[in-house]
Amino acid sequence: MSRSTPTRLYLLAYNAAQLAGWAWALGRTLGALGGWAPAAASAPAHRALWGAASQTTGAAYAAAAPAVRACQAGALLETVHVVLGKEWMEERERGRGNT
Amino acid sequence: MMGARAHHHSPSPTSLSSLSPGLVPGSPALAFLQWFGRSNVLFLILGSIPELRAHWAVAPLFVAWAAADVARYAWYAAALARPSSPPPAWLTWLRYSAFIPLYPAGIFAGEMPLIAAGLPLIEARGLHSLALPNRLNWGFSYAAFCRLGLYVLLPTAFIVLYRYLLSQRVKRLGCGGRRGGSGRREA
Repeated sequence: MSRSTPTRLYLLAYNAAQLAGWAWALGRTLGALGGWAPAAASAPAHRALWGAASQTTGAAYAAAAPAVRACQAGALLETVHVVLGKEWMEERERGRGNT
Repeated sequence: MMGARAHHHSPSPTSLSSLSPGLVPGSPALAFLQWFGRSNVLFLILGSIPELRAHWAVAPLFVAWAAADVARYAWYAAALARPSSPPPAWLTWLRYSAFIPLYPAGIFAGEMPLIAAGLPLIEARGLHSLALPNRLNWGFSYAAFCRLGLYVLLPTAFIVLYRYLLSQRVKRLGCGGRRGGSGRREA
């Protein structure tokens, strides 16, 4: 499907934003797991429930979750893209039928 | 819950969540279901059970989701940035190969252990459920929904989508996946 420039620029911006968000989340997660990123201490209840490893994973969640949540919430737009794409395709098919 | 994203109609690594852009052809219902799969684990389970946030499975979950999507979105961004030429062969290879370890890791070391660990808490707290009797005379057990997802939907979706992804990989990279990609654009 060929895309007009505004559509292409929008999709490029969307994909670049998602790429940046997920790359940030990956870096934060690995950083927390490797101990080279500022760690957020997990609550005593977490440690009691899940043991010693919980401090690291709790830190990984605290470090990366905001970015992961933002990216995943933004990914709902992809459903909208498909809805719009479907309409666009139908319109194009109708246009072809008329000619 | 559920794996493998689809973008321009091809599901990609981790999580049956989200068809991506293109203002693309595809099924909106499938796109929403794919998005809901991941969102269920992230927002409904991890979001409402703070104790689970320190579970060991959070790390593989985040690493698998993030690494898979970095490869996927980088490929789309590269394709959109230079429409006249295909994305670099190494990026095409990465996009169609990263899912091989990442998709099972996200499902079996991330989503499934988290759902399993959350089930007793979901049940005990009646999270996201509607108990009878009520004015609507309609009940909903989120714990039963999660159990269905854990034992039926997730494994089934994994088998179907993993096979699909492997077939897409062969189609794009050639036999054995050793070729650097045909460079053919999807949309």
